[in-house]
Amino acid sequence: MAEVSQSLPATIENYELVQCIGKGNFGDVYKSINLTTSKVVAIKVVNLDDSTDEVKMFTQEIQFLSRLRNRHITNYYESFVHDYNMFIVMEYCGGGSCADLLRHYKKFPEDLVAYIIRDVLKGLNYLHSENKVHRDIKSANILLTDNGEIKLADFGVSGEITMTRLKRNTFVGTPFWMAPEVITRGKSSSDGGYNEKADIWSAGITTIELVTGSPPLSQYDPMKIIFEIPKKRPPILVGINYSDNIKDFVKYCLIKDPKARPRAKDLLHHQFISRVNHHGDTVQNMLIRLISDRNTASEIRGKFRKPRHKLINTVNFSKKGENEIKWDFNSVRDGPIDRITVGATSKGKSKANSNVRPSPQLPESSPLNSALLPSSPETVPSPQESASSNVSRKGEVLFYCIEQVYHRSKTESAKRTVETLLSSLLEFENEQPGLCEAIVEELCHLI
Amino acid sequence: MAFLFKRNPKTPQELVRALNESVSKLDVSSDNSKKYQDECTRFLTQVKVVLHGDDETDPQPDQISFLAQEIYATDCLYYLIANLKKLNFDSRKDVLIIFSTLLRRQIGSKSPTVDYLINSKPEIIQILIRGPESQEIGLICGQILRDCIKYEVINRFVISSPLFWNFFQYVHLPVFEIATDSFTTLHDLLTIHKKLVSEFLANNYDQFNTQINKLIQSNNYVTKRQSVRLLSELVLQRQNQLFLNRYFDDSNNLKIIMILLSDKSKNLQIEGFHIFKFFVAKPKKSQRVLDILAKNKDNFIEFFNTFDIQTFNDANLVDERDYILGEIQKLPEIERIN
Repeated sequence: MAEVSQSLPATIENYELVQCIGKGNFGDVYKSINLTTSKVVAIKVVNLDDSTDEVKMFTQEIQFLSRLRNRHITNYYESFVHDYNMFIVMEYCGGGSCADLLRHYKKFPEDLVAYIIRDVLKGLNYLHSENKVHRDIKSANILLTDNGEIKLADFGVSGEITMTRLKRNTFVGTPFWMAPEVITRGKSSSDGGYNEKADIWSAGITTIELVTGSPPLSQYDPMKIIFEIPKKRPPILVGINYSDNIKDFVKYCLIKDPKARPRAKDLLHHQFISRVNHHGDTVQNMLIRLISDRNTASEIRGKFRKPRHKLINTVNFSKKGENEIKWDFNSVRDGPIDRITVGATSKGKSKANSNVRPSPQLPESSPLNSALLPSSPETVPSPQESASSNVSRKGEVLFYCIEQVYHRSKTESAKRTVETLLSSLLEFENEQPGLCEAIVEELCHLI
Repeated sequence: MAFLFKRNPKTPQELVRALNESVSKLDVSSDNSKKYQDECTRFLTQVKVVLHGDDETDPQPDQISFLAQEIYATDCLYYLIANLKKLNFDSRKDVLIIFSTLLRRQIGSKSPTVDYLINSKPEIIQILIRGPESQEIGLICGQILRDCIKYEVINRFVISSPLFWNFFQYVHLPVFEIATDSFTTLHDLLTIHKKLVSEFLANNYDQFNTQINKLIQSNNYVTKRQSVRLLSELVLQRQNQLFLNRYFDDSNNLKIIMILLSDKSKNLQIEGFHIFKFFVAKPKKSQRVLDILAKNKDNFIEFFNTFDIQTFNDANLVDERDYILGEIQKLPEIERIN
């Protein structure tokens, strides 16, 4: 283990959570600062104890995220566990989401749409080459950096567990962007659902969303139209306001049969997309301006979202959480008494006498054991002293009683007195074996 | 398009030799390392094409065979794994793909790559085991190793090696994804080949028990949950009988599980319960276990009255709880001697 990575272990102390910027089902997203590097990051906080899902589901996704690296996705940095929470540190995008920006400007010019969708396709091409289906492409999941770069967010676990739901819809996700095969997959489960082509459909819908301001059918209640989508003909973009290029592009994305639908790789060569390569910088500068104008015009900056989940120690306390059970790990007679009977003469005897309870045994002497025995009186005369003493079983009772008295004593001096009594008694017993037994017999008589 | 001017290797043999040469140069020069990295990337992609084909060509069995033989003969896999760190991010994934493809290769009933790893270059496996010690390549090594141990001989090799016990340290590594990946490997090592594992557990009870108990008592919630879950899986394996008998007779283990029962996390409680139930249900309990159970009878009864299992929505769980509660009520009363 000599050369284990030298980088600082990730801990919660390295980060300051500044403000909540998104809410999800499993946890919230915080804008945060890495205190060592001063870098701004996004941290998704997931309560691992909230669901009964296996932690494996989360850890596998984290491993998956850490294997992805691309300019057009929000990259994974690191993660760590604190209490019952998992913190996933990701790239932060200061420009907010395309949906936020769209809300401000109502609709985007085609050039800008082409620029955004081109990079979405690049991101998708990468994810698909890694056999990952994003599953939730829509403007809300396309993030912008302050420099006008485009990054896909919320794929994998980060998507599934922090998918930001539209406020009014309790429906899982919103169906407007869903490919027909995603919706029907439940019915024809024979061929095992959908593949990465579903993302292409969603990219087509997103194109319409960006250029018109909203996805098709969004005037309807999503619950009502969800099963209409697979039945209807694919949406098309119409009207003189839109170029033939964008109409054609959308048509390709929205081919109903996923097999006939082109791949992200192919669509990058479509006229609508490839044209933007010639003036990408101009468009990017336009986007940067749009973002900063919007930011100064208020809104998103400093917009504080109230987290849905409490941050610290978010554990579902079981009903009796506060008054924890005090397990008793001293087995009945192997408590103090047995300590005294260590190596007692009654080696064979203790096994033989069956009219009494089965003989107790020594607690193991492992370090664990002492850690587990907070209640055992460590200050009591050590067993070694008494190890050689020949205390008989009846005599043990006397020692046991004195130990109980020891526990009842409230002050230190009282304790010490009992200790003295105990060690004197041991001494006497050693001098006169059987002494204790006799005392106990007399006591029994009396009682 | 600079590489158009460089002679491209024609045959699979030439390709492997060219790759080996570029890999060996990764060592020497640091100024040119980018250049050789790119060369490796290019050759690795070509190796991948020989194995898997691409849009235009299908893989050719004879070409694959030439390629594989050259790879074994020149210890190419060894050099790739030993220099994995020096390759770039995407090339490392190509190594994974190539390794796994070769591993699955079969000639008749033989797996030549598996034979090669065990008989000629076990060093490769040792490097893979120690993969988690490097942040850059830990995950890739973990993935390759898990592919390898699907073959029982390799699994046997790994758990027989003293290096195996390193995994109990790796799961504590500060890099979260490496730690959890190591746990996945540990889990696979102990669950895939049941007979092998039952022998192993019987022969290594003490060491294993100490190590798994340490994990269960870890401060890290994820380590705790995963290790209890692993233990539950082992406990459910009838083949592990020898291990089970010793485990459930050990009162120390009982204590550790009882502490889990009183954890604040309901998930840990439930995981704890799935092990605890065997202590109670075991027909012949050891005296020490019986003592502790009996002494805590009232505690248990109180515990099971409030044991929150509704969130788990599991009818079996209710039955089990009732059964265990019944067994506990049957435990002897402890007469306090005083």
